[in-house]
Amino acid sequence: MNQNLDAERAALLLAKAVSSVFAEVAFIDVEPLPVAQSIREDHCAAIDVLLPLSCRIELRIRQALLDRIAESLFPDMEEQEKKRTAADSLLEMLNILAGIFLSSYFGQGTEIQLELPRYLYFGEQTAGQPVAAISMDAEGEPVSVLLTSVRYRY
Amino acid sequence: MPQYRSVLIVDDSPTSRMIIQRCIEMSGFEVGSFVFAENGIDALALLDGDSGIDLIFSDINMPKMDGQTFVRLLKNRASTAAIPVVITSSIADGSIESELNRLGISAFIKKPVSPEKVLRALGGKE
Repeated sequence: MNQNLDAERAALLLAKAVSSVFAEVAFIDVEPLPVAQSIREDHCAAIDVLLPLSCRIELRIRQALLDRIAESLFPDMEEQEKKRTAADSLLEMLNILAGIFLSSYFGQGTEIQLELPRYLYFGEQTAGQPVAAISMDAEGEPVSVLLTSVRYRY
Repeated sequence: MPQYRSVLIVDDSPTSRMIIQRCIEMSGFEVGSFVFAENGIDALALLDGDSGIDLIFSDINMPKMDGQTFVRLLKNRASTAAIPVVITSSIADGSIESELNRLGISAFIKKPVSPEKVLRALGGKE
């Protein structure tokens, strides 16, 4: 499918997906901020979408929020194990977020193919053309989400 | 409420495995034990012989062997074909869901998994 994303609609549905995932998985309230703000994030998780169109979703948060997610999900877990598992939790939340966003944007039942979510590290550049960037507040901690359209070359 | 001797949860995410286990427990089903696998290959190995596993929850998008291939192989083996399988996935793709239904899965849960969704999938009362 070769289709352009509507930036305004994508931003709206992305924000809803982020709020839904944080509330349902980690019991954390996340609200959109009126103006996009850049944050110096500690973690950037990314997931590449292959179908119905090529794009990437990046989720950026600080360590403090990752710690809160882990505390919410695994309150009884030993600290070291909790830290290890927290890294996976953000990837899983992004995976779910991508599913919710794509289903709501393209409709239930649309064929969707996702790569496995992963972390982007230091020198790794954001891929593609930015479509939508949203800034949100997670009970005092910043969350930013970037959607880019990507043209893969095989 | 039905009881299960052993429930196998197949998912590459430890977070997801823990959430699914918690949701099954919170939905009121009695489960003797939980066993876990990160992908379809490891899951099939656990199902060799008399594993005692009588319910399976499986993700679709996993490394090494995805959920569709796992279910296809599982349903082709006489010893495991009758075990009920609940698919959990972040994507509700019509063609994949149809294929999995044709293979004989019991239910499809779109993530995030919740106790209510587990109850509905397993036919319990909410």
